[in-house]
Amino acid sequence: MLTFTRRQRPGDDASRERFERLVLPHLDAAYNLARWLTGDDETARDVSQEAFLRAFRFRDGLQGEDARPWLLAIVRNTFLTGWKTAKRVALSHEEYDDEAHGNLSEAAEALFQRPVSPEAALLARGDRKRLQAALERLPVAYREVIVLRELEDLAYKEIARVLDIPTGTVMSRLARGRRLLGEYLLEGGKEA
Amino acid sequence: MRCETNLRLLDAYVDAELDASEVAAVESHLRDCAACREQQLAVRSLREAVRSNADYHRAPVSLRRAVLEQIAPREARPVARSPRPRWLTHALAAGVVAVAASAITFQLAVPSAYELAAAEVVSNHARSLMARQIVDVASSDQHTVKPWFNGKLDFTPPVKDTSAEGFPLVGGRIDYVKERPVAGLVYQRRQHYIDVYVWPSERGSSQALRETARRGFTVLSWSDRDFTYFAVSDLDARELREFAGHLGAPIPKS
Repeated sequence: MLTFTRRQRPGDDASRERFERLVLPHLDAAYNLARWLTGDDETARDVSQEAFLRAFRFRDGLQGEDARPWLLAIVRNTFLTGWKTAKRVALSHEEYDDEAHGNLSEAAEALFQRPVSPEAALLARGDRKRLQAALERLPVAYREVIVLRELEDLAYKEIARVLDIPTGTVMSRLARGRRLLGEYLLEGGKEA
Repeated sequence: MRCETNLRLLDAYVDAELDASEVAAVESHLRDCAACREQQLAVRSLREAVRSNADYHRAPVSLRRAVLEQIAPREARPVARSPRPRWLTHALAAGVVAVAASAITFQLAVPSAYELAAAEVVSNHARSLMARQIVDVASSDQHTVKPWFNGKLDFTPPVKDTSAEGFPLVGGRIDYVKERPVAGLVYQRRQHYIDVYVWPSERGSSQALRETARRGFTVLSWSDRDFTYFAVSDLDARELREFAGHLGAPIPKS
């Protein structure tokens, strides 16, 4: 009987154990990204849970030991493909999809010319609510890159893997995201 | 280098993502250009502000539970709550056979003392994460935490301050493992908590490092002549090993 059950599901325990060891510890990271993408607790919870289910189903696709970028890519794809807001998000993505498609929009290009003001950094440091509001206002393409860099502390290369874009695009998107964040901080409570 | 080029590289410079020749070019420009220097400081300062001030949303306990349930082995999976996922319905028939088989497995496999202790510290840790208060004495000062245990335990646990290594002490509490009170020390790494359970070694013998993954947590344990340590966290195993090394665990060289 024992041998029968083992033979019936070969390698299952090992791959499950590997999943528990490598992927489960990143539950907070998955939820944090989902929460920043969706903007609300309930949807973030659904997206993360669905993403874990997908990750578990495709666990054999995980190469190497570092599961975090792999899992975060699944979270993001789950969000983009499965949720109501996804279409709108995908559109706003295209709008900012810069070098990946060859040319910068004028607005995106102009962002480089406007430096981050030291005052914006001070505001971010001193006024948590204002910072939170400014981050939430950022277009998702900028928001996600800042969350992955500053809150998850991922390297550009890892962010490129999560977003499936070239490293150079990570660099410019992050730079522009910070400048836009600086502007929003200065504008403060004003609506977009 | 012109300012325009420099500004394009500045963020990657601040993020330490440039190669050596680019770093040299940016730094030489920064030496000459006050405006770019100021810009560099502003970017750096904004970056630090986001890192320390933006919300990090930790997964709610209910999500952790749901995910664990989702991936639990079929035999161990509790009866599905409604709405039952479609794939589970298909699996149920097979499950009946598996449950019958696993009943035998469980009787045959008697868990070792180590496995029992590992299971207990994981439960303790998971429970403490759900509690409003994770420590009974909150202090990052080892000289406050250590005396707190006096009179509450029949031994004085070693309390090490590892804040310089990036694992600040959060505090301590009394917990129970193997039906005896033990010292529970709580450390932090970014948004993750690490519990370290300490009690006197049973036969005064040292024990090499052991590692187990359980319910999404990593458990490391080791003993020296005086104490047995169990460290548990949802931190990734590599970082937990690094932390254990700072506490004096015998980390095998890899």
